[in-house]
Amino acid sequence: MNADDPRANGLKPTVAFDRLIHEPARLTLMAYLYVVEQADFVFLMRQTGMTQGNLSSHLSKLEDAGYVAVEKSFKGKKPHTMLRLTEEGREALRRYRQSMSQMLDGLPE
Amino acid sequence: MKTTKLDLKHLERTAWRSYHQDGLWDVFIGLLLLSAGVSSIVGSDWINLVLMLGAAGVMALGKHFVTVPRMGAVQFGAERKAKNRKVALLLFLTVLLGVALYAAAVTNLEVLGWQPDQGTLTTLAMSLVILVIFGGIAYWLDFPRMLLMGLAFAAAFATSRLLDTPVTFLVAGAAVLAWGAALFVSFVRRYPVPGPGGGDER
Repeated sequence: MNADDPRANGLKPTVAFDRLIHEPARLTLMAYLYVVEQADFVFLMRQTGMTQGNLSSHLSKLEDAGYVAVEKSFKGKKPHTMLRLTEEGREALRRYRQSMSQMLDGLPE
Repeated sequence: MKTTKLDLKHLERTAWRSYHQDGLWDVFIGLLLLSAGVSSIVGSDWINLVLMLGAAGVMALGKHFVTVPRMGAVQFGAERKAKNRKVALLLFLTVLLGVALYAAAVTNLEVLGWQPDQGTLTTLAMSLVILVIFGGIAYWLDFPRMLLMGLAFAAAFATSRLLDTPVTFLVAGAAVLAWGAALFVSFVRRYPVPGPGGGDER
């Protein structure tokens, strides 16, 4: 597809999106972590309705990207994990929101 | 295709309110109402204090051992914390006011030129104060049901003083407690404790 192809031009704005955040489940996770200081795995599971495996998989991707920080501790003998958005993650979500806003603002009525 | 708007404020409010589905606030207020009725019948303010502390203990233990294991642990943001501090301050001032009025009543002291009496106007004014306090808590806690509990409390207080009977406290207390207990049972059934490893898959 060459640059003059209208379809190519139409695709350009979307490639600027953070694809990691663009996935609906991860976007929801980022949103919940954005509005709280930190939360544990059970909280995110309850609020998003995701299964344990699904949630773990998405959190791993976000952690690998540096968007989510993980703090592990013990409550008695039970392991306990608290999660929070890093500054990088907060900034990434703000940039994503701005990108979406800019693209959608340009759409015809 | 169904789409859902991602509204961050709505998200935060929904998450916050999910912690009030457990009915423990209703149980707490119900027990407070019952303790007021019981202590009136027995004729001892110390029993009222003990029962009130017991009610607070029930709520604290319920949140720790029932709600948090099911809903997870979370620290809400600065704005929510600021609202919670306002509620704490309001409750503190309420307790101070209650202690001051009680002291004035038992010692027959005038408070700023006003002496507590059993008059209708005083009763209605105090009921209104109760309603305003509960309204403030309902607003800052983002917890509309608290206003209904405030109505029950104010009505029980007013009718108790006007009819000179503690029965209204017992009736209101039993109703609110029963409602809270029903919510609690429903909450426990809806949100079982996550299975082994469910609290931490990472």
